[in-house]
Amino acid sequence: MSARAVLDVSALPTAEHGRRALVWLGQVWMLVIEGTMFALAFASYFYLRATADVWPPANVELPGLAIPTVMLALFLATIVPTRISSRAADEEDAPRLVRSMVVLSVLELVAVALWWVYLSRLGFRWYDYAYGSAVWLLLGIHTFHLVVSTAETVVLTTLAARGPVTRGHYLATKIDGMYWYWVIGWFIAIYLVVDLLPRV
Amino acid sequence: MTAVPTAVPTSHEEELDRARRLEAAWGSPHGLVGALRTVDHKAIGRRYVLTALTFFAIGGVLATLMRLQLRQPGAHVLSAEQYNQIFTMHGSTMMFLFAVPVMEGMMIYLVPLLVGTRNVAFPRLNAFGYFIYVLGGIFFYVAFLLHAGPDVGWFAYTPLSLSRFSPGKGPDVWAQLITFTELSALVVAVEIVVTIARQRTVGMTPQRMPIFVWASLVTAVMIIFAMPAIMLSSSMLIMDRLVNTHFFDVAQGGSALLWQHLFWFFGHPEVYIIFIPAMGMVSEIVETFSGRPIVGRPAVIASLAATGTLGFGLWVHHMFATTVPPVGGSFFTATSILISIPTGVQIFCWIATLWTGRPRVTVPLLFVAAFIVVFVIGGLSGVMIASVPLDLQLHDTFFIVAHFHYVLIGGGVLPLFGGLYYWIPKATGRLLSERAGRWHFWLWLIGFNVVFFPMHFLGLAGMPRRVYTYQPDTGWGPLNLLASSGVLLVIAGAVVFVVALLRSRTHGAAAGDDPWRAPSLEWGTSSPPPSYNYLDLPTVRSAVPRWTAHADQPVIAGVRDDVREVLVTRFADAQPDHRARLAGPSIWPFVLAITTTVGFIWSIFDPWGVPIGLILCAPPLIAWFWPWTRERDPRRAPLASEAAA
Amino acid sequence: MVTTAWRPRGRAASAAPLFAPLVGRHPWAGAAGGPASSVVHPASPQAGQIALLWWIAVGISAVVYVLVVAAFFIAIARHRAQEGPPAGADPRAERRATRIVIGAAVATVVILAAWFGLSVASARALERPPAHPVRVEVIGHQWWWELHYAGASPSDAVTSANELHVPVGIPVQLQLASADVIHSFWVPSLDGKRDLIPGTRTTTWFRVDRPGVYRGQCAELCGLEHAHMALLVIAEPKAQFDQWLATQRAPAVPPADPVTWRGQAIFLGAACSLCHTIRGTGAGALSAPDLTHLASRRTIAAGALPNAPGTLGAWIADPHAFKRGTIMPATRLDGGAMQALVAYLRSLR
Repeated sequence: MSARAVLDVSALPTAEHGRRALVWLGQVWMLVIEGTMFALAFASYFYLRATADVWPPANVELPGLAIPTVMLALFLATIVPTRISSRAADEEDAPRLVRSMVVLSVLELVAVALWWVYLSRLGFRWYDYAYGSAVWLLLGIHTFHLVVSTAETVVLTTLAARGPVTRGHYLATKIDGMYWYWVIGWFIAIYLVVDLLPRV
Repeated sequence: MTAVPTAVPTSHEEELDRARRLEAAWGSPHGLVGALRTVDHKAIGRRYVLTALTFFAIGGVLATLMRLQLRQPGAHVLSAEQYNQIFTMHGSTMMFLFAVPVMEGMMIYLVPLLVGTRNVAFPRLNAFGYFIYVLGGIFFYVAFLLHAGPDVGWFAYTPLSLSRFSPGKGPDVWAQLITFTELSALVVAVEIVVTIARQRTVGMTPQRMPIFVWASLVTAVMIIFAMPAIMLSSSMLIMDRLVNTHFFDVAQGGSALLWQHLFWFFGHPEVYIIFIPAMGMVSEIVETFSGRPIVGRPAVIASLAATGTLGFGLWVHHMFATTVPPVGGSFFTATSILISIPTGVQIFCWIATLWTGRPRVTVPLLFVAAFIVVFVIGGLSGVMIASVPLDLQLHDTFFIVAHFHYVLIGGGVLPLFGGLYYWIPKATGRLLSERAGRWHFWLWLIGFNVVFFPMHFLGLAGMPRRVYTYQPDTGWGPLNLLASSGVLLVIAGAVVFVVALLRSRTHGAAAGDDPWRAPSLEWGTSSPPPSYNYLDLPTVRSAVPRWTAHADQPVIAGVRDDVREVLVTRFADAQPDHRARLAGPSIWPFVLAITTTVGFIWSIFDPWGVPIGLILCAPPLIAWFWPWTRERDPRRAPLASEAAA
Repeated sequence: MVTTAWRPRGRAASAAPLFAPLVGRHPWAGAAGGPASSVVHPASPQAGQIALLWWIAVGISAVVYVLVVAAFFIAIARHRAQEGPPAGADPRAERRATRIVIGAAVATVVILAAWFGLSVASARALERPPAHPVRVEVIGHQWWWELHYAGASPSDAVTSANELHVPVGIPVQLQLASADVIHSFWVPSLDGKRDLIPGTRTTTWFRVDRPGVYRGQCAELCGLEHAHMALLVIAEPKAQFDQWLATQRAPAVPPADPVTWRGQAIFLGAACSLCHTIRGTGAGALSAPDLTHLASRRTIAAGALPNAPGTLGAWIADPHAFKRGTIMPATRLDGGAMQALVAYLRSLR
């Protein structure tokens, strides 16, 4: 029997949630990847805009401003339940978490529905000139993230409502909230570039 | 938390018992299905390296065919179609299926060992990344054998790669290969970044991280910012070809040059994604075999970071011939010249380390010497072509072919071989033959230069790249014949390496834990390391822990040995933060890789492949994350409050 | 005009006699009896300037290379096989090592800064467009070069292919465009390359100082027959060039004998005239090289074959045997008819 020096870490917490969790950091980097992709899609838009003679082409009908503006308001409104659910996760307050997530799910589903209407009413398609391609590229990436993020929120809400609410739920809620903020951020960029910029 | 080291009694029986429990928790399942389920970073890293070396050999066969065709004017070994396909396959294979994956494999194998943890942060993602990579590679070669190989170069410039000029499936196959390999690279990058950020053992502050770990971190961050560009642009290309978008179609307001910007925004960092891990390997080898800590360690680390940053600011130097405005030209000349400074600094530091050390000339160090002899030529010719006027003459000629082979073989492959001779004994427990290593070294050093040095002169004499033949009156024949003859030496060297590798399994001398008297942690565990890497998780107090460890350097206790638990530390001070449970073996990453592959391939023929692929991927994805039992998933474990109640 | 750093011809090459035999002018590289093609044997001030840059770079690089590699091997050899603690333990040696590394890094920065200055100055000089140049429009096709010389009036314009005639001593400005994919115009002895990009116009210019024939080739992968897209630059004294231009302006020589008459009839009756132009006849299609003065050219099929009766006949009968990707179809003719067609084409001086 011999003795050796040890650093005992058995008193440390396990499965930390929030920003200290490995998964949280992993998700941050995943969003950096997706964000780089989005940023480059915007860069491509501006590159094509700079090299084109007319942008948008004369015969292209600009998207109406009403739906995207309503959506903008809706997205900004979702910040409140997202913050509440995130706070509830920090405080491990299950009932409040479920309540805020239900509200958030409903708002996100409304956003998806509005987005669908917006896309189907758009007066041009991706095969209409490079303008159509560049705009639909941005819209397409946004659609993907909007749908995935909404599906994630709805699934999490369902699981949390069924209970029991675990650490995993709290962590996932925080990660879902971060993703949702990210989606809102890129929507605002699309609103500025696709909907507002061609009008000024 | 700041844990106070305490002395606890230990015994051999206790250690055996702990090893048994750890093996039960971390061991990989057996059998074929077990091999598909494993999430051990060492198994996955080994697969990456072996698969990548296989593709390296295949790429080498393609190169040999090209050299046969070019050995004399008007040769008929290959037709124009075959030649164009083969140089496209060669370039794509070497970049996407060999160089980047082999470096990823080395990082996956080594990083957890070097930082003193038991697995990467997202083990199942890691397994998924490998399956995606290998399935992408198989798909690429199946398409090639079915005569649907791409023939528009590994850079697939538009408009040549658009349907109007390339009506076949080749460019779609190429674009989808990109999707496969970049997806795999991106998941590797994320898990490497998180592993390095949060799973370093106690005491391994950023300043004390092994240089290879620094190189891995820089590389992973570069992948994260560079690869999205190629995923986006290859998707845009495939959309132009399949659903009539017009990103690159000039007639419909698109731009032919947009492709080049996006491609090289990825393509240039790609070179450094290969080069930087290799530099990390050189630093490790130099440190070990000079027997002293590396000179100018902060400078070496800063150089890696500077290279990684500057690597994003020089993509336009691939486009000087398209006409770049003077200010832009000067800017990109400046960055292209600047990036040689950090590499120069590293070389000076290595020389100073060896100069003041006690060098032991072993095969790994010989490959570092080969790296210096070869790479410095490529670096210097790189500084030449940073100049706009000189580049306009040399761009797209055989001079460039020579240049980037000096850089990529010199700066990537030769250090890799040094690294393989250095670390294979750790992975297999057997030393490679020193004599075979020396033969390999000489055959490659001479053979490589015979193949590629004459190409500088061919470029100066006006021979462009990517030509399947040339006229006798150009006078390019004799130098081409010389270049082609050198291939024999290179093949011989490769054969020596393969034989040495195979023979070491049966005839190699036992390596022991530390055959090189090396300073870093991985040499403190057995060779090959157990499934759980370290029986006693080490702590460190310097950048060369095994040279400076106190007799009472504490080990970490209190990490559970009956489940897959690792210690998570804080980024900046590397002090314990919490214990985290990692995922165990699972078949679902493999199933998901299969369904993803189906979706990717389907979408080449029919845009509906995208939604269908997504739907197919949903069940394995759900199964992957499904909390099958409470005990297995820590996040489903009852809360402290529940447990108390 | 680019004259700032230009040295008299030949000076650049003689600056490094050690390397000169290795490139160009040598039986096993560069111009082996063929037209000149060498970056280091410039025939224009533009290429001369770049060749000078090249030799400076080679000189500096050679010194740097020898120093680095020598230092590395001395470092390995110095204390080899010595045991005991490395010198790292000695703080004085440590400080010296650090100082040397810093010194080497500073030297690197100084050399690179000088190289940057030199390069930018050269680029500036080369970017200044010439005054009163001869203008030629060059259009890249898969896989041949279309050339237009503008005239005083549209009827004075000259269209030719694959053989660029230029006057010696007068700057030539090329307006580059592409009809399909990206190509790159490159004549190593005359100047660096410039891409021909669909949807954009690019330009380049040079002044040939030495009469001669210079070889160039497309330098950007442009599809299947990228290897067979060469062009010749023929630099001749001004008077000769003007004469050539006058000849090219004229419509085709009418057939002078029954054989060439028959040849012309075959040309106009067969598929030839669906793609080619022969000015002065009914053939006016634009998708293939203008053949009005075909016989004045040295090569056919963008340098794939020399222009001689035998090769011309063989090419017409089966172009894919020489250039698999060409869109020109094979023309099946009996012996007499082929002879007549070749005789007619050979008469188009």
